[in-house]
Amino acid sequence: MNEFVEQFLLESRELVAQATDDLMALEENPGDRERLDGAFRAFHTLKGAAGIVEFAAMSRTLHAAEDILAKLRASHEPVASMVLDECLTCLDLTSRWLDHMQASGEMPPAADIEADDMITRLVSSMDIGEGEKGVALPANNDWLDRLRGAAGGHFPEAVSAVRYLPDPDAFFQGDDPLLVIASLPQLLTVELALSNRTVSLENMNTFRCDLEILALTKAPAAEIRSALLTVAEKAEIRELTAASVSTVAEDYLTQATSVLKAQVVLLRDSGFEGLLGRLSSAGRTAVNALHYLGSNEAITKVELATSAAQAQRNVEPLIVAIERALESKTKADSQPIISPAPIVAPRALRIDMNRIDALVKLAGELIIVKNAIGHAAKRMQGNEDLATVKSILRDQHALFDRLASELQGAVLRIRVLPLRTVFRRFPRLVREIAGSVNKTVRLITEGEDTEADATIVDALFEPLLHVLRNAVDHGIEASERRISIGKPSMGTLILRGRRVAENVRIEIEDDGGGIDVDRVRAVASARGVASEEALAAMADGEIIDLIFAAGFSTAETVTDLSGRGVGMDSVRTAVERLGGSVTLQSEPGKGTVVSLILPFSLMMTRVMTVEVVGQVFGLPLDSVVETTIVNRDMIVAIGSGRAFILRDRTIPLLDLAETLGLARVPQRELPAKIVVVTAAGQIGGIEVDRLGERLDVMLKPMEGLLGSMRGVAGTTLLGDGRVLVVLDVQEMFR
Amino acid sequence: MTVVLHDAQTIRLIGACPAEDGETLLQQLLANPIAQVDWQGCESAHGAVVQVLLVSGRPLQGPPAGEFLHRFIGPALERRSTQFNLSPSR
Repeated sequence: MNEFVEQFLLESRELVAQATDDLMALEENPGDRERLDGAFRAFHTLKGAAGIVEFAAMSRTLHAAEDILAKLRASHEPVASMVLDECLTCLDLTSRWLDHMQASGEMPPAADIEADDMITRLVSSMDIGEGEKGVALPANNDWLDRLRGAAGGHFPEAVSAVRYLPDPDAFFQGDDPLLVIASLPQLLTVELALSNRTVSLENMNTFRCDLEILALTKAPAAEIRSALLTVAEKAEIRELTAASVSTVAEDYLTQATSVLKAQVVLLRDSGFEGLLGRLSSAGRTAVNALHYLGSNEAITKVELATSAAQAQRNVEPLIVAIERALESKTKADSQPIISPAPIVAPRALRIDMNRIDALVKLAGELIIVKNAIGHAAKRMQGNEDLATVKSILRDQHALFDRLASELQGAVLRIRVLPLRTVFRRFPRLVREIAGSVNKTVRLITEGEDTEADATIVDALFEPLLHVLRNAVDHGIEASERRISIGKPSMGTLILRGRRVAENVRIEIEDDGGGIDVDRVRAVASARGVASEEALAAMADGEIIDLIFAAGFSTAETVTDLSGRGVGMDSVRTAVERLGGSVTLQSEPGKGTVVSLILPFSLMMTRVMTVEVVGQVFGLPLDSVVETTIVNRDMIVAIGSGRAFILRDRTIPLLDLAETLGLARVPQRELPAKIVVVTAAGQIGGIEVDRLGERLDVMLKPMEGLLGSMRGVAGTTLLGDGRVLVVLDVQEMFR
Repeated sequence: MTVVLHDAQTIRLIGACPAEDGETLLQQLLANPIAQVDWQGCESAHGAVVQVLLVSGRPLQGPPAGEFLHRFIGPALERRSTQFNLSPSR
């Protein structure tokens, strides 16, 4: 992926988020002009960004939405919700396109069709929003294509397209629609068609106007609009974007060239005021345009000229450089342009400058420590008193230790995003989901500022959406039912995020009917999730947990929301893949709380080392409850397994050596050293030979051939160079 | 008189053709089903006249005298009549 596309994706996502926020706020308060302006600006910038990367479908879709917002701005009436909905749908579509580009580095192949569809929806939403004032033009989106066909790629310089459907009485009224078209500034081509295809010489009425006139011009849409003012409601004007008329390569050049030319004009025309700022922005813009043309040599020259111009406080050097670039580019026009090969690059992350500064400072301090250690080494060579050197080394190690952990913290903070980035997408989705099942539900979000690793925040969308869908679809009762049992007719969902020690806890709480344990039991039995005997023995909590079992779905009616065969098991899988866990509490009649507990960071883990048969293993400290020493006579065999009693509780016990298949002589005489852990809400014990230390490690997940290995969470290197295998406790007790 | 039947083969458009000429032209075209239209002398034509030409799909002998007709309307009619010839059923 080239850097423009990367930048485009980054910015576009921010703009989509911003526009969504503004539209949502408008929905709450349809008279909020500031939000309307904000949304308009975001759409406008987004459209511009799409134009720069030549994403024509996105550009024209957003243009249609922008037109609508512009109309709304001009009118002083509150914004109709229908129009807002379509604008939001347009943003959703844009997000999907961005996702596609992110994943494949290419523009989505169906974008054009989707764009046509979206534009029709946008236009018709405005018709409905405007009531009787609706535009008289029949919905017809193929006219641009027809015009494109008629132009045959001859007019790359075209800026606007016009479709004019004169009033059928125009001839009667003494008007000549062709004169209107002839008066358009900078006309390039005209295409004629009949709006009524059934007209023939035999049946035609020469005083009835059935013309459909299409035209391409070089003048901007605003100019065309004013030229067509008298017939405004009969004409449709489109500003053309890259590649919508001409071939891609032609437009590529035209656009970049015009950007370069504009910079020269800008530099020439303005006075001395703000010169430095203007120089740097013109220089930067020119470099961007040249990047786009793949002209590396010219880029260097323009960059040098920019600095020279800034140093001399004179625009000339930059003008000369840009003009040279323009000349050489025009010569190269005939050469084919090779577009940069798409490479899927890791997502870029926007980072607060302060966080980078903190890193720079830490790096500086680390270097000081490095020098001090070098100095100590020298003193040691110089046969200095060992005790002095020892104490210096100890001090420096302490300092180094502190800096390293600070650095680690600072690096991790870089990868952190607030949960807001994922939470903000839900209020609308929840409303839509609720609407589709005829329920009214409001979503309250809390703790959006809670931060978590960017990878985790990104991966949360799907599982959260699934849980929310389930809550709306199965949890919240229908309005009539709610009223009959004395609940408010509107259901409430709370999406809550908070930091709990090393974890991020996300709760989805609903005030619905809770989970019917008996029904879950019945369904689990019917679907063979567990045997009758096992089910009978299970406590209610365990039964509820079956909802997370693969292939479990209790929806009586399969809606198109949830119950598509993908149950809550997909949520558990997704969360566990992130190193987290899901639990569920439910109170019949009161509601359900689903809790997702996720590690704060994917990168740093606290582990406890244990030793067995001379080998060291790590256990994630998250899952360690306590360590204990138990006399052998407290350990009893139960069935094929063993258990021990701790504070009047029977806890299953695993022998780590045995579990890992390591041979060892049973130590009958010594008391057993046991690590008590929690796994999937249960407590278990792991017997080890020796308890080790606590370490902060950067866990490396298993890759390649070892990637599918079960029971191992990852590896890290110990101080002495040995590999520490960190075990996955959840897996061991499964 | 700006719409003239030259012979059974040619209908001529001359000078500036106003809206009323649409009807005259239509009658001529109906009366002379194989006649071509010669608009070399045509300075300008009202939309109503152009609409008749468009519906007829008849070959035009040009170029017309008027600049707008020559640059914009002629090519558009030509594209249309090609389409007509390719798909006469329409």
